[in-house]
Amino acid sequence: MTTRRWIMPSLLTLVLLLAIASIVVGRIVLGWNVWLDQDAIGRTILLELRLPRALLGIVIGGALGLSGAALQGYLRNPLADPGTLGVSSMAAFGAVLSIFFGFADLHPWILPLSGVGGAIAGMAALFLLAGMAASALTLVLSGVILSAIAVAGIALVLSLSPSPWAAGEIVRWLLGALADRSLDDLIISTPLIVIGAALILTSRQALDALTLGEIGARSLGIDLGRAQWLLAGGVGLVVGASVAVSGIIGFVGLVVPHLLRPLLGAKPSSLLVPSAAGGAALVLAGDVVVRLLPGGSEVQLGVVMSLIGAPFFFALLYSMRRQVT
Amino acid sequence: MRLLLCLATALLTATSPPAQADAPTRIVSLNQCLDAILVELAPTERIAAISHYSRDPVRSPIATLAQSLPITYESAEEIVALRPDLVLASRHSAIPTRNALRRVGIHYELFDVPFSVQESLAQIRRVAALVDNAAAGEALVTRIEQAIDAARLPPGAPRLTAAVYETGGLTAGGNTVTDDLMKTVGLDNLAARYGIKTHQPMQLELLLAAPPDLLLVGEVPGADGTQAARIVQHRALRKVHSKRWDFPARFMYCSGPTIVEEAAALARARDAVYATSRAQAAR
Amino acid sequence: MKIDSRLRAVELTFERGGRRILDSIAVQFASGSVTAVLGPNGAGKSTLLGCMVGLLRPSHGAVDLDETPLVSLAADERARRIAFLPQIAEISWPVDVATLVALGRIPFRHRASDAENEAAVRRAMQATRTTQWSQRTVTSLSGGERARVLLARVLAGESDWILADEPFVGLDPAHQFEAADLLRSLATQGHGVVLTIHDLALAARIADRVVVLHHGRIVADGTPEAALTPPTLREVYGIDAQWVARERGTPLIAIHGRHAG
Repeated sequence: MTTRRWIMPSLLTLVLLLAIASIVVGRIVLGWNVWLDQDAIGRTILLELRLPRALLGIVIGGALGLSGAALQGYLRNPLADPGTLGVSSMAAFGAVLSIFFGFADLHPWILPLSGVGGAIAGMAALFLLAGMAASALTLVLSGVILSAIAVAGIALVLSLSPSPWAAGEIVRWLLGALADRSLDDLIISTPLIVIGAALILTSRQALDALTLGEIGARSLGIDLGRAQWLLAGGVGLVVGASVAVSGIIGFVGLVVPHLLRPLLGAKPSSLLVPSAAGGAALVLAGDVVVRLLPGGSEVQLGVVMSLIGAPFFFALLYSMRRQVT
Repeated sequence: MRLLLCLATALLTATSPPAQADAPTRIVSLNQCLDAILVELAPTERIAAISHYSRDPVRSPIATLAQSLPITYESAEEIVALRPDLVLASRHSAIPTRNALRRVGIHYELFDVPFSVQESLAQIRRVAALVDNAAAGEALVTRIEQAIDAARLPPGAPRLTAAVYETGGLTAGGNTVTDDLMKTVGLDNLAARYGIKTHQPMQLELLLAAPPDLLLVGEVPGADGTQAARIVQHRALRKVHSKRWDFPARFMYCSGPTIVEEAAALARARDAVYATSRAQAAR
Repeated sequence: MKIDSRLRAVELTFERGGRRILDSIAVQFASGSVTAVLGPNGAGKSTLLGCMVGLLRPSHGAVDLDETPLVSLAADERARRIAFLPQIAEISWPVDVATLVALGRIPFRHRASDAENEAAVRRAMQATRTTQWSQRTVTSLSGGERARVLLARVLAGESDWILADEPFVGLDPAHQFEAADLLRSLATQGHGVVLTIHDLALAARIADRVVVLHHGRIVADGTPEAALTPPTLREVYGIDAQWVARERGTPLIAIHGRHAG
């Protein structure tokens, strides 16, 4: 029990160290005297590029970790992922539409706000499809449908692209990255993520009660319908705001709760905040790695996350299979 | 209302160029096609960096020259560190990078993909004006126009049908520089006839239904067995008895100075078809 | 401790899919006793229990708890006063036993202090003799052990009423008697215990009162001997049975076989 108490402080320390690494690492070497010198360039790079990027790594990584833990708790399935509800695909679709029609060029806020618009449309569609008294299964299936629609829409946009370069631009955005994100992106995404996180955290008792199944939880006085929509709304906001800014970064919400479950126990509510911290650490680590990999261009962060996450998941499923047989 | 007006003015002027008294001396280009134009119009000591794609020996027409020029990987950090006084970017450069440049007050000039020869020449003139070397711009434009004239269909010569067919079935459709050149050279673009616009894949059966006189095929990359390469070697293509001529895909990636080479290649291909049909008629 | 509580069904009707599962049921349960609800499969036992707990909405009629309609109580308060042990043991996560039992305190999260909650959990685990498994993962326990832990979760709520749906299914005889004795002692302490059950003999042994359901109606209601007469058993279950008096302990029901004809 006492070891559990050290997990959260350790995670927070890790996040702090990785945030510092994220600020330090980059193609342009910033001297230690970037503050003292009249190094306007260095200060610009630090304040306008490195700092927002590190902060976004924390915010978005935290968002993905939290929503993954919340969805796994609600669906009572360790294979759930923030993308399960289809809201992340819809957010991506919204953003891609703004690139395709050229609105994204007009002002830096338009692309992320289009992504958020897509996420909100996705949540509304989810509500319409699944209905007020939806079971978890209906919710998941509705998410699958939404994802399919959004992916089809994105594919249509790509095939209608006026040139291979336009299509390439969209594909690169979709692959997910934190590179060159600015304070604008932070300002747009953070309030929505905070609100969404608050919604998720108010349902943590419902997540614990669901350990006993839906009947058990309802007999404990939990309003499952309300809990479901608080969670769906919270996850939608959190994930939508993240994707709108960074593109699609996968596996974080899937992997982090799995890593923390053996350390913290399987009670869903005790995994929520630590998963946020773990997610922040993982995204920051990935974002540092993309800048340290050989080769001139940065690899997209979403690609690195998939390369780490997929083998991890393969190993996990393999070990689960061996337990069953 | 006044606030809105101020906001609108601020937005509109945000991308207007700062007043330039002197020619820019630290020019950064973020796009391979703009690089090719830039190196013709500005001396290398005024070029702070070009795109790393220009060093690609397969796709870049200036690969050798690019080896001796500084490059960036188009990240905002690198661009900021170069303290540029002119940045040339494409409409399809990454939006977050452009937003970051805007935030730190680095102005960039945005160029669209040119869809006709005139648009490409206008871009050259625009770059020439930006680097304060209008004379070099006119010289390049003249050189290109001369190359087009040299390739122009001789009067009285018959027009031919032609199609471009690259890996993946990629073709040059109706509103492309390639199509524009083909029209001038005397080649009627099959893809345009079928209503294909810009650069899209063309169905093989369209070629089979109306085999063109000239098939401009891309170079097949060495034995990699990808689906795209197999299409160019597709069995059905054997039934298409068009005259084949090599047409590297890089002719479609960029226009500008490449037009010179492209126009000459198209003219040679056309003349080869004439030669073949004369030889066949003589038998 | 005297809990004077009444749980009452008034004209309770439940329809689903065109079928009338419960037909105008009127019954009142009293605290301080164990009531067994019996009936063949499909008689409506679980549905009745579900309505009494407030998990199912009746099509007509109502359930009252101490003269207050159940539907007018806040879900939290209802959960504090009535605890439910579902038939199917669902445990979604491999938590440890102490955490699982503590879930029974969820309705009290705004009402009781952490110390009170921990004390209630401890008492529940002592009563069910599960304290030694406190740090073990629930999924590592056997079926019977898990059943005790789930019962401890219900007891942790220390509610007036404990409604259990087939609590003895899947337990071996020793564990069955253990659970039965525990429920009996709860009734003695003043709680109201209502359970559905298949095993006639166990019902006869443990229940103060037996309510027999058949096709959604109550066909017998009384002490086990009064309610489970051979004619009733023949009509409801289609079996020939007989009460056998014993020197020690309560009478048994001996089942001879299916009723011929």
